[in-house]
Amino acid sequence: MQHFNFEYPYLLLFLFAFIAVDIFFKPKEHSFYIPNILTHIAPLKQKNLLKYIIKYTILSTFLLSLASPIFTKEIVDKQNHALDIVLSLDTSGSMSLNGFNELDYNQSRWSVVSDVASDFIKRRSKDRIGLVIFGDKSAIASPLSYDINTSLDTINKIDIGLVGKSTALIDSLVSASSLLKNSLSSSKLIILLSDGDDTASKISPEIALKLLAKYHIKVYTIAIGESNNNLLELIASKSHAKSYVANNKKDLSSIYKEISSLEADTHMFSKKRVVEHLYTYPLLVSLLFLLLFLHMQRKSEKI
Amino acid sequence: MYQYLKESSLAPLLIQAQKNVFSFFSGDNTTLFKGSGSDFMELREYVTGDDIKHIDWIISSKMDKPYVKIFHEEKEHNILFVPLLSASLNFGVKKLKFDTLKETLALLGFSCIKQQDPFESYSYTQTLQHTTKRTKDVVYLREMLEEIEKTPLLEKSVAYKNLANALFKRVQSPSIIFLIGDFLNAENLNTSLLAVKHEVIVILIRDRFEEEPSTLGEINITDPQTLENATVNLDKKAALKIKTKQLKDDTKLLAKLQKDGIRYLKIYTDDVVYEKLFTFMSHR
Repeated sequence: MQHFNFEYPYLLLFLFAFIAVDIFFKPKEHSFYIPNILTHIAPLKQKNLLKYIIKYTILSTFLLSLASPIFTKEIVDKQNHALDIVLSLDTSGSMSLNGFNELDYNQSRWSVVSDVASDFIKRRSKDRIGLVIFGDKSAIASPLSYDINTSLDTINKIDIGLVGKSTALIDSLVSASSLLKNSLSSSKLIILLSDGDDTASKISPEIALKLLAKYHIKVYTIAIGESNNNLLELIASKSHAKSYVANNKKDLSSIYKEISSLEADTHMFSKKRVVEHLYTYPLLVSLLFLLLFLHMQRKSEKI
Repeated sequence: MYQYLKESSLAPLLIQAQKNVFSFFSGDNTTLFKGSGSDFMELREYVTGDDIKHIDWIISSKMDKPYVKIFHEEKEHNILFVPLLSASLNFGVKKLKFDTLKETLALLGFSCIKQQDPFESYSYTQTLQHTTKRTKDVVYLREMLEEIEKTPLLEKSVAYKNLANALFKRVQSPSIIFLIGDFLNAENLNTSLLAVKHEVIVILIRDRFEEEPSTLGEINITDPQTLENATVNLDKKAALKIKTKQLKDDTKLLAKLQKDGIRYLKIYTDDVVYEKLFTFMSHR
């Protein structure tokens, strides 16, 4: 998107003022009584016209540059950290249970989660996505990145029990926070997905919550199945986000969609207006004509 | 001595002229008219300024008018000043041509008074205007100059064509006629007949700018004769054009004057007028 306009277009109205002055307030010209000259040389006309044109060129270009013409380009800044999202995914042993997908009961919870997370990543192409998984301990699977393909690839390669069978839920929050702490984005999210209680964390929830508050991180929590989700609700409410419960694949994808829409529009399209000031060009023309005018004036008054 | 100057704006001019005349002009002017002996005598009506010692009481009582005896050896001439008053006189780079004209007239007038020659004056633009009657009195010189000074110059132009004719008809007795003016565009001046009867002396009052204009660049000019106003570019080319034209005109005019046996003198506004006049009058 490119368009051209003036910052102060009303300044162009001064041209009319100049024209009015030119018409109504003629300068008093000094005249000399000199006999016997007008009969010999023809009066000037052509040169005055040229001077007149040059005078108005100077004036109009000068006013044009005063009105500050600008060329606005609107570009979407990819480097702007629109949203930084860390998906914190549970890869504990319980994720291997089947029956979460109502259409295909042979599908394990993990494969459903990885499918839905992949969809989510694809939808958030303008945001930076990071991946954290947790089992006995938590691990960073992928740092914050715009590279969707790598993120999708990483999700595909993750398997249940990669970092142990238990659930280090709080530790994963801390890992995710460490990913987000240096982020410049105005909005930092963690989407925490788990199907069980914390069983392996070495860090207390209070410390984790303090960290989240310190770095202004929102944590959307998704509990899978009939697990104890008090902790998840607490985390979500303390970080000013929401907590969800997903009982099947449909629920899960709708939850992801909801989160996506909640955080969508405000930062999704971070547009930047690049303004190019063009006043230098008319100003240059004005100055050049001014020099020409002065030269002509000097030449005409030269004795 | 300077009583005649009372309340005159021309006082500085007249004083200077008087001083110049009475301290520098010496001896008689040479003239074409020659006296024919000391024994010859003529009787003439008294005019103001004549020496009262010359009044012949017998004739005066007979005629009931004062008459004076004139000896020719006194070489009394009839002097006629004819200032040609045109608007172009109102110009001059440092001094107006008009002022130079007045100074010239004052100097000539005082010379007349000093040599006891009566003078008379007519001013001329389109027609001949009698401004001073025949006199030797310094008061009339002042009056003549004041009259000239009062004359409005703007829009006036001299009809050179009729000048000689009008003078020829008006002036009866042989006289020395001084034509004083700037003689710009005077190609119609025809003095051949006038020069036969009278001794004509032409004094051209000029400013150097008119003959050699400086390049002033773009300048707004009003012509004093037509009041036409225009901006012109007075560059080298235009200056050269004017110079050439003026030179051509002058060459033609002066050749004509020379042919008619008329003496002429060119006085520029930056000249010392009395020196020029003195040199001119004492050499033939």
